[in-house]
Amino acid sequence: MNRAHDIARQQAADWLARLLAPDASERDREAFERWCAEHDANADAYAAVAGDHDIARLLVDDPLIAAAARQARIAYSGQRRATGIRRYAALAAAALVVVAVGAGAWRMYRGSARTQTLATAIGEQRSVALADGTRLVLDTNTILDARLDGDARELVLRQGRIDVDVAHDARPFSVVSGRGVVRDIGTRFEVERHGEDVAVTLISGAVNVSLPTAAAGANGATLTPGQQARFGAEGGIVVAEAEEIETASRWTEGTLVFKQRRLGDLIAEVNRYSTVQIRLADRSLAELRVSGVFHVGDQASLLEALRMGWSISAKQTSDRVIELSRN
Amino acid sequence: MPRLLSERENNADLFERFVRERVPLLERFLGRLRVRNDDVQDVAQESVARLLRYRDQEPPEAWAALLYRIAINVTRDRARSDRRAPSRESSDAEPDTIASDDSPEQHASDQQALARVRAAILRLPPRCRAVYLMHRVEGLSYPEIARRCGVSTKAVEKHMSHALRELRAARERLGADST
Repeated sequence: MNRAHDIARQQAADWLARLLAPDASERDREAFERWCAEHDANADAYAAVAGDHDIARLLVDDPLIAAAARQARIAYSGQRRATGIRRYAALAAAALVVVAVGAGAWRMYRGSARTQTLATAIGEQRSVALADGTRLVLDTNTILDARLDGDARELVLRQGRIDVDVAHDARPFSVVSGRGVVRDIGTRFEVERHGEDVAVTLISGAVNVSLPTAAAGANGATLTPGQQARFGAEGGIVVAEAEEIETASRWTEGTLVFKQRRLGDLIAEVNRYSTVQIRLADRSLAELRVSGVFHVGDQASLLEALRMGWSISAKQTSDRVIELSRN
Repeated sequence: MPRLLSERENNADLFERFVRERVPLLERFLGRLRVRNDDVQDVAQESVARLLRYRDQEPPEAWAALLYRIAINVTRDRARSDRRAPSRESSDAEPDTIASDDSPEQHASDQQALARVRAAILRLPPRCRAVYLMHRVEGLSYPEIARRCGVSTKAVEKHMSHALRELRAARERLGADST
């Protein structure tokens, strides 16, 4: 395509955007008509751009477009400054929430004045700075109590996932999750909890993980960077090398990185960020290996990528379910 | 989109007024496109007839922009059929030309084109995509979108323009691919 053509296309797009504005005036229309009359190519470019805009109207009921529109409506509700419970309720009710890791804490005070409860809605991520300078990133659907007092700093992870970058401070720092306690020695680590199952991944520094209530012999493991400790309602701590440590904390930037991951695992991970759940209509799809980098909460792009790259089609079967099947 | 009957009736009134006001201006526009004087009324009438199909699908604010597009297409259709059949007497004899060139439903049968437009929308930068979908899918006006996004209405217009250009570019790539 030549340059004149590109210019005509750009101007045509500018004109259509102007004519659709509620404040488009008779003078605008007059100027537009003169532009159209200048060259046949101008009028043709306008008709072409407006024709595509027409086609887009036919996509209103397309599941991906509808999902993207819903996402847009929620992300830009015009109530971004609402705080506290109202905001939480609004977000929790949302079908899909575009994720933005924002600065500044969002706090709900409860119980003792020193205990702070921090929470995120499904699809939401928050970064929070505690009074001691410790930086936290809360992943989707996370509830956390933080207590800082004269001689200790303690977090209780009730559910979800956190990334902790501990500020240097004389007071000891610990994270309680399920049966375990993670004691930190100046460090960055992550704790993830689903029910009673907890995983602690060390990014840098050193931590000690212990199970205070466990029988003797089952307690205590000191991790080195790249290691992951897992424990559940029963049994001891299992320590292993964490998978793909270099990408382990990318979720804190709102990005999910997958390298040759089972599609079943990828979907489970992505579903944590959305109340609209993706399901595999075809079981065999679960074993498919996929790679890619996705923005958390951006289901539309993921589905599009699966469609383009792996010929997997998506069909929204209800408000809450999108089903994937082979084309 | 289902609408209440009263709303449609109201739309009918609005549409009638729109046509009354716009037709003289439309004829002036057709003159500028160098449509022959004897044809101007005809083309204007046909354009309005085609616009009627969109009456309940597009908000009144969109009608003027739509009418321009339709008028350009009708003009081009005529020029083409004039070249094909110079002895043609009446344009009313060719209803299929109308359907093939102007009905978006017809375009829709081209699933590949539809998929291209969809992919182009999904590939837009997030804010631009949000603006475009709020307008196109949710039917929100620029000021309402501006309020929701916390930007100026001029910025909304810029996002709209960018989105429209990207849609066209994607369709032109499709044309290039398929040849």
